[in-house]
Amino acid sequence: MANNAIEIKDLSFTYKNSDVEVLKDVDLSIEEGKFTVIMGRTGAGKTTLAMLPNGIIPQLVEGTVKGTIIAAGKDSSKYRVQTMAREIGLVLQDPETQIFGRTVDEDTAFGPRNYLVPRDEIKERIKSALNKVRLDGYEKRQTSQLSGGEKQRLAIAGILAMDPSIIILDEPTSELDPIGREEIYSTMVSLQKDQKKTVVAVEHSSQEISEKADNIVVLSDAHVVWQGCPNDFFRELDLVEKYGIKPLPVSKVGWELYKKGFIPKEEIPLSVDDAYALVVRLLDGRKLEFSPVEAPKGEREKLIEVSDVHYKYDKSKEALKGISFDIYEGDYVALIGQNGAGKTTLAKHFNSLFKPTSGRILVCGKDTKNEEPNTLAEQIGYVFQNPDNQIFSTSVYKEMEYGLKALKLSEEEMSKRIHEIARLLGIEKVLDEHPFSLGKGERQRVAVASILVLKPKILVVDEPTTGQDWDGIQNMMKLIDELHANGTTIVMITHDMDVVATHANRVIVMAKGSIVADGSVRDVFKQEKALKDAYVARPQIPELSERLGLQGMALTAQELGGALIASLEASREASR
Amino acid sequence: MNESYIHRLNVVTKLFLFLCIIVAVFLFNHPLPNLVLAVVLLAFVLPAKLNLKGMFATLSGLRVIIILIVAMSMFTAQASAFKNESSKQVLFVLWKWPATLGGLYQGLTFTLRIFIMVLATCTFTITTPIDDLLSFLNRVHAPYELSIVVATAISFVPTLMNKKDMIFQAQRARGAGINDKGGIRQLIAYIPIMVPLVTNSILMADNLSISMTNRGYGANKSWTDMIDKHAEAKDYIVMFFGLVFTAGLFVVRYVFHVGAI
Repeated sequence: MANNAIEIKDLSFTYKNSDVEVLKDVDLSIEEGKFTVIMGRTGAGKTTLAMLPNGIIPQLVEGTVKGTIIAAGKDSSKYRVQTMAREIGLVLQDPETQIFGRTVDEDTAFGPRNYLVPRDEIKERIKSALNKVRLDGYEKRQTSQLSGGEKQRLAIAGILAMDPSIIILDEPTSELDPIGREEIYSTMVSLQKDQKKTVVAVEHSSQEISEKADNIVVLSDAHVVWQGCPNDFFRELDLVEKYGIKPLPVSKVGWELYKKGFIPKEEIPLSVDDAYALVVRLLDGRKLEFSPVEAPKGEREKLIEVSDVHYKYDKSKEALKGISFDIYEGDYVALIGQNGAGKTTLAKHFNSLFKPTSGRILVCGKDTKNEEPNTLAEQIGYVFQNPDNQIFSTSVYKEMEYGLKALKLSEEEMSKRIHEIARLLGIEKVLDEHPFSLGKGERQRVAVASILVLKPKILVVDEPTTGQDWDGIQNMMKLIDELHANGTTIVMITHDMDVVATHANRVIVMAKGSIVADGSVRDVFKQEKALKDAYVARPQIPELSERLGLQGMALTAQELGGALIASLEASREASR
Repeated sequence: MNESYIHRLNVVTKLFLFLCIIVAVFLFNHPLPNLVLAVVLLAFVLPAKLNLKGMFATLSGLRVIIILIVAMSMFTAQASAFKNESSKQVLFVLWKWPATLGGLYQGLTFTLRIFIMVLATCTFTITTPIDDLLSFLNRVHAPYELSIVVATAISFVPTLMNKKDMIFQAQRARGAGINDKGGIRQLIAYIPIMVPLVTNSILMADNLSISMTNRGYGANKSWTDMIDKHAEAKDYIVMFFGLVFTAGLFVVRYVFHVGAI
């Protein structure tokens, strides 16, 4: 029988000053040398579960624990965190607060130094840890100059250098682009396969997990509701939806086929390869017809004109290298590209937070050079990634009122607008509440609402779905879709290609400070080379659609599934 | 890396010099010697490439408080405490309150002391890696909780500055006009920034201490020294000069009686 790295029995946990049990009667064994993933909605108890084995909970974050946790052979209630941490490495969520060193090597050395590891061995460990997260050559870099993704990798290296036998990672890829995510996952797999480590990761994104994890543990409402092989789980689409986990796009096509009786459940595909093989077999030599109708655009007003914009942070680093394009009324633009490609830098030019070093930007005819963010507030609204950075009032109502006051509207008009927007966003009931008493999703809505009351013609949203669970992603995207339908022009920065495929109507791809592709979603997803240059991976459905050689590209599971089922039903009809 | 000679000094040397500066600053009550001290110090720390512009900007933000300090001491200083007759001279009388020359001197000295301490502290924190400081605390067997506090505080500064920038931008995007002129209104305009900054810092401080423990801080009573940072010849020379300089100041103050008000 295999040994268990972590053994949890009858575990319940309640945070101090709360009477809600965040974990309830949890029994869980995590097998040694396996790659286990913990999934579930925000608030299901995943982070709590991750912090328990090495004793951070309840030693540093207080609360009441019932039951036992044996990790790496030690009862975690009987040892200090420092003792447990040597065997159980935990990579926490926020990389920002896990980096203490001035330089990369100083930071990586921090862990082993505390355990009095000899100096020469520490130097070797730094080298190998940095190599595993692909940060070789970064030794002497200042940690404050690293990008978000690099910081996330450094946080992992800091734990690897301690050489623990169990590594627990709490959403290690939340701030990474798809390529960065892929890199972290390969690191985890090689740690598990080559170094025989036990790897446990808390994750939201489904695609990598179905391919790489050995086991999956699903939490819902403080309980473990499912554990076993990830592929079995991802084929149970009703369960996947029920527990608030994002389904794999191709599995949705498979689910439709299964419900119509074309395939058994075990054949629901999870990867593009499997889906391709399945569809080819089902079509049996026939050709699949799919020709989407693109709505004609017609004559539209130019809202943003960007001409030959260059931007330098300092003398040496050019962040934008000659950008030119126009944004029209009614556009729903997805701005995509790798971390550090210049997406946010460009977007911050639109409302004059940044001014071009050379070149010109006109927003609704106004040159941003002569404008300030507050003077452009009625033309363009900017929603930042972290809602907590923009919330400061004592009630939701006051929060929304803040921007309006500068417009010098009457009390009546302000109240009317606030209620109108609050209704649209579904936060009417919490107008008198303190914003920080709300959940993350609602706080994000408040942040969006406080921008929307200004009724901007253009809304810029920076990574609206990052760090959100599937419910959160769907709610946020539904909201943005509604705003777009009501006439707001949208510019959205995102790493989520499935979101791009299902929501946007135009894609701008950036790489290294330049635009490498710009066009309708279908056009851009056809440009294989440009996507490759920008390290952007095509999402499952468009990829499958291209491989099948469809005339028009299918973007969503509904489109592809619909066309496929229509064709299959027609041939079934004909063979009768 | 372009490190200045100050970066290369041993942490003990720097702490010693810091102590010398503190002593020197409190030696003289008269603003003139303190001004000389400030200029000399400024000249010595210039190679460390501090963000002087930013520092002056911060200090100029405090100008209301500085003016208050000077005004307060001008009117409230005890004339009988002045050693020199000239200091007792009354500059003008406001209602019933006489403003003395000595009081003005005292106020200016306070201001210069603030400036010198800010300058010395900035130089120390910017040129000293956290690790050096921690290993020093280690060597003098300070409790590790103290080291956690120090490390958290110092490594916090750049993170907090980043956070401040992000919040500042987010606020500006919502039409916050921080550029409003005028003392109180400017202070009020900063409230939107301070609220999330404080909330965020409390959360971050908590996370920071968790993640330090998570990486084994305090597992043992000491830790591996990564570099042999023993005081070198240049450290002894600098310390010697620091000592001679401070001793010289004592002579100037108590033998030649310069620098009293």
